[in-house]
Amino acid sequence: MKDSIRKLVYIEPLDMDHFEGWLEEMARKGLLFERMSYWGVVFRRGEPAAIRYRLEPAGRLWTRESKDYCKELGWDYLGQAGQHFELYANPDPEAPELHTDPVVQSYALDLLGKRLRWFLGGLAALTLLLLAAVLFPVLTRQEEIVNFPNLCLLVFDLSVLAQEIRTCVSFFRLRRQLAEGMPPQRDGSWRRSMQWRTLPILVGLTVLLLELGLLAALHLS
Amino acid sequence: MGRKTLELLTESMFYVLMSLLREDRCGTEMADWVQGRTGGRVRLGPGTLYTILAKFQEENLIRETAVDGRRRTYTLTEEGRKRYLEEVARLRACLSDAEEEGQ
Repeated sequence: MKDSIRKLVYIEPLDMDHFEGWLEEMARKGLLFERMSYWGVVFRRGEPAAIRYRLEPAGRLWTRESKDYCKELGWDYLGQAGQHFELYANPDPEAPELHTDPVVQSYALDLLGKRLRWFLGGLAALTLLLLAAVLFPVLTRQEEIVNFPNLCLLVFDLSVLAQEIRTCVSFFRLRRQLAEGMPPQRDGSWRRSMQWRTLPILVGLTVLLLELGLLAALHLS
Repeated sequence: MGRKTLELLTESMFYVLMSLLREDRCGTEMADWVQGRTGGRVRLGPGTLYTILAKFQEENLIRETAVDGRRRTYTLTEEGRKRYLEEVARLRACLSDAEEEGQ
């Protein structure tokens, strides 16, 4: 049996509490986080363990003192998790949380929240441009029906947009919850999040395959 | 409507300001002091502690005074002292109301 196993990332680190809950579930099954890779997460096989995994916005715990304090409390730095976060783990159930104050934790997410708003705005603008480009010829009667490859591209783009919106909604939900003083719930709800994320991916892939099939058929004929 | 920062101090934030009332301290000294002062009731995790320090610096409630190797020392500013005393007054008012109701 191989010592490491790779799993596709079905939950984005931005979906913070669900990503942490998923990693903790994997640890309880004996799959311990080793590193992120391009397509997913690489786990190391080990003994089942009750390890706490926590995400922190990248660059916040950068001073030597903060790193030493983390180590003193048993929080090991595991590396980058996605574009925005660093991942910490602690096997000691008695150690204090990385964040002991939910309201303060919401402040730590403020800057990332602003960046995400800009990102979503840009993505929505691009989608509107694509929508206009696909529908304009039909609306101005230059073409009778929507060009199928462009339509496939639009559906694929919408599936990506839906996925990003879903992830960001989860991030902002958690930030609001923290700002109200409620700590994150890392329960089995990560499974539902995984299902929601899988659906747009399947739609997008199906559309992509349809388009490739159509292009191949046109080429052969 | 945007959220107004630091309208209400949480317990962690309040105790961090309190820890700087009498002397300047570095982050880990503040965490140890708060844990000792509260008998372990209030603990400052690393994420909480350093987020509070960054936020308080941004709001000019504290100021960094020295960097000595890995230790960064902070002091309370006049604004920070004022904010602390406002919170003490608010908590006294809450306690006074509670004691009156309890009689």
